[in-house]
Amino acid sequence: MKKTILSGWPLALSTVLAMAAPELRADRVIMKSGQVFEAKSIRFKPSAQEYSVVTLDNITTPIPAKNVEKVEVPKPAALAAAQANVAAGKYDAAIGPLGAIITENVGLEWDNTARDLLGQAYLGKRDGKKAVSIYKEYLENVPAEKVSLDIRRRYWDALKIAEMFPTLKNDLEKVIKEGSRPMAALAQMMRGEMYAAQGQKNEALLDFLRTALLYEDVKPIQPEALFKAAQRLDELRDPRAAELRKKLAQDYPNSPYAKNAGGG
Amino acid sequence: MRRAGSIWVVGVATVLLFIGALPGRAQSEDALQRELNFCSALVKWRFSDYATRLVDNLEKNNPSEKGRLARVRVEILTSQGKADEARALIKTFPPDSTATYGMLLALGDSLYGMGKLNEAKAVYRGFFANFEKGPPPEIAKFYQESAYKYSQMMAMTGNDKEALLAYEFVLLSKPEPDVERRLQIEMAELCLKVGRQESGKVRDDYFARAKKLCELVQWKGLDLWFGQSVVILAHIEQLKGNRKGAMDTITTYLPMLKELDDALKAENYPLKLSPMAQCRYILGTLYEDEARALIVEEKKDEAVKAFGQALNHLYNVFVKYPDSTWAPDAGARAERMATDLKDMGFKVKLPEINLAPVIEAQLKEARLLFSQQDFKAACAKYLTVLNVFPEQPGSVQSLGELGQCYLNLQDKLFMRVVVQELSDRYGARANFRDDAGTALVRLARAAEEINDNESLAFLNQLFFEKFSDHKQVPSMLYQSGERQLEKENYDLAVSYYSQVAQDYTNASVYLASLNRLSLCYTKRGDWSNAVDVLTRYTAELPFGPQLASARFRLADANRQVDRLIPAINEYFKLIKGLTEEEAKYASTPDEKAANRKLLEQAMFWKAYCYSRLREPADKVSSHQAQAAEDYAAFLKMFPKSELSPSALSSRGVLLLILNRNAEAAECYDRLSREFPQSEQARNAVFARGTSLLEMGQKDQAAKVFEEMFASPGKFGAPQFYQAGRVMLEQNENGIAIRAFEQALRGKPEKALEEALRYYLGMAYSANGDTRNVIRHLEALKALNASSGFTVEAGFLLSKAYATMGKQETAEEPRLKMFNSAIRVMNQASRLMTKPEERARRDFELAGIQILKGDPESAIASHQRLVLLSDYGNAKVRPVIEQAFEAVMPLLLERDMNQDLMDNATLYLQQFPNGRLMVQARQWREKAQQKMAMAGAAPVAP
Repeated sequence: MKKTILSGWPLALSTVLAMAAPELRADRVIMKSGQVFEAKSIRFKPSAQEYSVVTLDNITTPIPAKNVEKVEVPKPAALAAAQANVAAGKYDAAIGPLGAIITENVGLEWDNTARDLLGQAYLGKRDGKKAVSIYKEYLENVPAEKVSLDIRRRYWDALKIAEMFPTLKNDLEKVIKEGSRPMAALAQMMRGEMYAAQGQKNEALLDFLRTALLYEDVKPIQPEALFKAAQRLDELRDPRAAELRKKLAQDYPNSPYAKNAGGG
Repeated sequence: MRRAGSIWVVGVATVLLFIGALPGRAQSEDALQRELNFCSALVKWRFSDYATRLVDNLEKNNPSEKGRLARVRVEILTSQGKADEARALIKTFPPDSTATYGMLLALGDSLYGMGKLNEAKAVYRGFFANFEKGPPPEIAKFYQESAYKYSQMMAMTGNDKEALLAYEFVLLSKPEPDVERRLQIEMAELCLKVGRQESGKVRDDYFARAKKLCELVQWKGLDLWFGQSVVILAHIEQLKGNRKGAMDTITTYLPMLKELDDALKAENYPLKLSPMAQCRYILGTLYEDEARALIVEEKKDEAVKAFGQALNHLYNVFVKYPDSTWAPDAGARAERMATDLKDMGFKVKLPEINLAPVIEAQLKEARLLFSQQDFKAACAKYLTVLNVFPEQPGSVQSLGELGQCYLNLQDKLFMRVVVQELSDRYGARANFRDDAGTALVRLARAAEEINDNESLAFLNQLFFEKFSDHKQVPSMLYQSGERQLEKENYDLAVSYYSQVAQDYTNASVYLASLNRLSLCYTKRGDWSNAVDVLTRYTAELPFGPQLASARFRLADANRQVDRLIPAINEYFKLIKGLTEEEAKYASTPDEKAANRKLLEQAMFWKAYCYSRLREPADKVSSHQAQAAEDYAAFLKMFPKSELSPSALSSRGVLLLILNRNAEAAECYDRLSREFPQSEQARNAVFARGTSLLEMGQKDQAAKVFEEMFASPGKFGAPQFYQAGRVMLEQNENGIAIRAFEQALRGKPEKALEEALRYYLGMAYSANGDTRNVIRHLEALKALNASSGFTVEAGFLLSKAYATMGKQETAEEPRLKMFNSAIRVMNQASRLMTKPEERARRDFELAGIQILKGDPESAIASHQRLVLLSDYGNAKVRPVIEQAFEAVMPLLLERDMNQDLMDNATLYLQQFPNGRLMVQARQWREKAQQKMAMAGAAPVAP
C-alpha cells in the first residue's frame, strides 16, 4: 500500500514520500523484488537455505532465502518476558528462554532479536566470552549494512570484557576502513577509548577529534566525540577545548554530554 | 513595470554607493598623509617612540599642518597611557573645527583599541552631543562616517543597544536614500537580535521597531535589502512562535523574490546573492518543524505533506543555489530528514542529484580562500563541505587541501587528524586510494616548501608505509634520499635509495638511485657495499660517460677494500674502453675531457694495484714488474700529470726492489729534473720509505727511515714530523714516536711543536703509555690553551687521566686522577662549539664514568645522548650510535628491560640500515622475553 503525496513546489525538482502500512495480519514473506506473500506459517531450513512457506490456501512452497528481503512472523510470546528480565537485570531468568526462542525461530528475524537480548544478558553477567560468541553468530546472520550501531557497540563491549584486544582492534580497524560512516565513527570512538585506557592519550585524542571534526554528519555520535575530544584537549591545555564544548552546548543542548560538559 | 535587470542594477548601485560612504575609505593621499599613516601604523605596532621622532621631523618640515600632525600625536600619547596629555593637546586647538573633532575621535579610537570602552564611549557621545539635531552640512560627512564607525565598534563588542543608538546618529546626518535603506536593514537586524534576548513588552517593542524599519525599506524598492527585509519579518514571526505566520510571510513575498531572482539570473550575477536561497531555506526548516510537530500529534497524513514541502524547499536550495551559504546546511538537513523518515517507516524517494556541480560550487570559495592563504577561513569552509559531502569524488583532494591549511597554520594536531582520515579511510578504498596517496604527496611537498622538516618526515614515512604501491613512491623515496644526502645523513639516505633499488627496478629513478646509493656507501667508507651496488649499476648502464665514471668508481671501491684483482680488471676494462672505443663513452668535448682525466687516473691506479699485489707469493716479482711497466705506460701517456711525481717515485722504488738499479736511477733523475718542487723530489728518502710502506714492504721501509734517524742533521723537523705522520697512519707507532721525538729535539717553531705534542700524545696513547700522553698533552696545553688541537687533545688527556685513575689503588691519588680527567674535559668543553663535539664529550664522559666504576652515571650519560640528541645531524649520529652500542649491554646486565626495549625500538626507527640492526633486534627480543618472564604488562594490542 503506497501513498504518493507530494510535489507541491512548481519547480521541476521534487521528492516523493510514501507511507508504509505498518498493520500486520498474517505471516508475510517480502521478496527482494517487492512482491509480498501472505502465509499461514513460515519455517526456515538452514541446510537448504530456503524458506518453507505454507500459503493461505495451504500450499507449501519453498522459497530460496537469497530471494527474500525479509519475513514477518508474529513475535514469540516468550520474548517480551525475556526482554523484561534482561531490562530488570534478571539475566539468568532470561538466558534459558532466549536460547529456546533462537532455536525455534531460526531464520525468522526474531532469532536475531533474541540473540541480541541473550548477548545483553551475558554482558550483564560480565561473561564476555559467551557474549562474544552470541554476537559473532548475530553478525554472521545479518548483513553488515543492517547491523545497528548499538549492536556493533555491544559486540565490541563483549570483546573488551573478554579481553580479546587483538580481535577488537582488528575489527575496529576493519570497520574504520570499510564500514559505513556511522559505523566507522563509532569504531573510532571505541578505538579512542581503548587507546585512552592504555595511556596512549594522543592516539585517543586523534580518534575523538577525527570523529568530531570529520564525521559531523554522524549526529548520534557527535556529543560524545565533542565531549571526549574536549576532555583530552583540556589535558593539553589547548584552548580549542572550549570551542568544542561551545559547539556541544549549542548543537546538542539536550545530550547528557552537553549537560556534563559545563565546567569542563 | 521595471525591467528585471533594472531592479538588480539598483541593488548593485546601492551596495557600491554605500561602500563609498563607509568611513575609513581610501582618501586621495598626499605625501604628508602617507607619512602620517605610517606613523599611525608604527603606533599600532607599539613603536610609539619612533612615531614621535617621525612626527617631530614632519612638524619641522610642515609647520602649517599642526592640526593633522596633532591627530597622530593624540594616538601616540594615548598609546603611552597619557590620555590626559592627549586631551590637553586637543584643547589647544579651536574647539569646533573638523581637525579638532578628528583628534578627539582619534582619542576615542585609541581608547577603544586599548579596551577602555567606557572612556571611548564618553568621547564619542561627547562628540555627538554637540549636534543633537544633526550635524551642520560642513561636517556632515565626517559626522556620518564617525557615527557609522562607532556603530560598528559597539556591535563588535556586543553593545548592540549602543550600536542601535549610533545608527540613529548616522541617520541624523541625512544620508543618501540608498544608504539610508541599508542602514535601516542593519538596524532591523540589530533590533531582531536585541529583541530575541529580551522578553515581554521590551521584546515586542524591538520586534515592532524592526518591522517598521523593514516596511520603510520595502516601500522604497525591490532590491537585495527588500529580500533581506522579508527574511527579518519571517524571523520575527518565527521567534514569536508563529510558525504559520513566518511561512505566510515568505510565501506572500515569494513572487517578488522570484522577480529579484530572475533579475539576477538575467544579469548573470551569482545566485548566491539571491535572498530566495535563504527564504526557501527558512521555509524548509519551518515545514520540517511543523511536520515533526504533526508526527507527535499523530497526524501522519498532514505530516507527510509538510515533510514533502520541507524536502522540496531544502533540496531546491541545495541544487539551485549550490554556492549559497545555505546550500550545505540545506543538503545536510534534507539528508538527515530523509534518514529519520526512513527510520520512522516512511518510504522516501529522493531526486537523483548530480552532486559534482554542487560540491564544486561550494569548494570554489574554500579554494579561493586557500589560494589567498586565508587558511583559517578556508579550513572552516572545507570542513563544512566535507561534512555535508563526505566520501564523494573530490573529497580526497579537499581533505588534502584541508590538511595543507592546517599545515600552514602549523596546527599539527588537526593536520594529523586529516592525514589519518586520508590514509586510514580513503586509503583503504579502491576508488579513493590513488588520490589519497597523491594528496599525501602534495601535503609532503607543502611541508617541504615551508621547511617543516618534522611534518615532511612524518608524512613521507606514512606515505611509504601505507601507500607502498602508489606510483609516486619511487620518486618520493628518491627525493627523500636526496634530502638526507644533502644533509650528509648517509645512513638514512641509504635506506631510501635502497628501497628503490630493491623494490622499484622499473622506476625511472632506479638507475639514479643506484648511483646515489653507491655514493652514500662511498661517503660512509663502506666500500664493500659500494662495490656491490656499483657492480649492479655498471651492469645496467648503457654506454656513455656515466658508465665510464661508474666503472672507475667500481674499480676504486674494489681497490679500497684491497680487492686488487677485481680493481685491476675494472681499471683494465675502462682503459681499454676509453682507448679503443672512445666514441662509445663520449660524444661532446666536455665528456671527452672528463674521460681523459678518468683514463689518467685509471692507468695510475692500475699500476698502483699491481705494485700492492702480494699473492700468490711466487708472482709478486712479476706483479711488481707489471706495475713498473704500467707506471711507465702512464708516464708516457701523461708525462705532465699531477700524479707523475708519485708514479716516478713509486716506479723508482719498484725498480730498486727488482734490482734494476740503472732504470731506478733514471727515474729519480727524471723526478728531480722534471718535478724538482715536488714533495717526492725534495724528500726522496722519505718518499721512498712511504712508497715502500704503501707497497707493504714494511721492513724495507723501516730501513729507509733508519737512514733518516742515522743522520738526523740532514733532515729538518718538518720532515721528521711528516715521516711520523705516515708511520702513525700505518700504525707503526714506535717509529712514529721516534720520528716525532726527533722532530721535537730539533726545536721546531711553536705551531709545529703543538702538532708534534698532539701526535705524540696520540701515538703514546695508541701504545698505552698514559704517562707520556699526559706529559706531552699537558705541555701542549701549557704551550697554547686554545689551539686547534685543544678539543681532541682534551679527549685524549682526559681519558689518560681516567686510565691512570683506574690503575691507582689508593683512594686519594685515584680520586685526584679522575678529578683531573673531569677538569681537563671541562676545560676542553669551553672550546666545543659544534654539536658533534658536545655529543662526543658526553660519550667520553660516560667512558670516564665506567673507568671510575660508576656505571649508573655512565648509563645516564649515554641515555642523554640516546634520548636527547639531534638525530637529524649527520655528524652527531655516529656518536649516538656508539652510545647505543655502549649502553645496551649495561642495560641488559641490570635488567633494565623497558629501557632496553625502548632503546632498541628507537634504534631501529632511527637507524633503519644501521650497523647494529641485527643486534638491536636481538636486544629487543631479549627485553621482551625478560619482561614476559617477569610478568610485565603485555604490549598494547
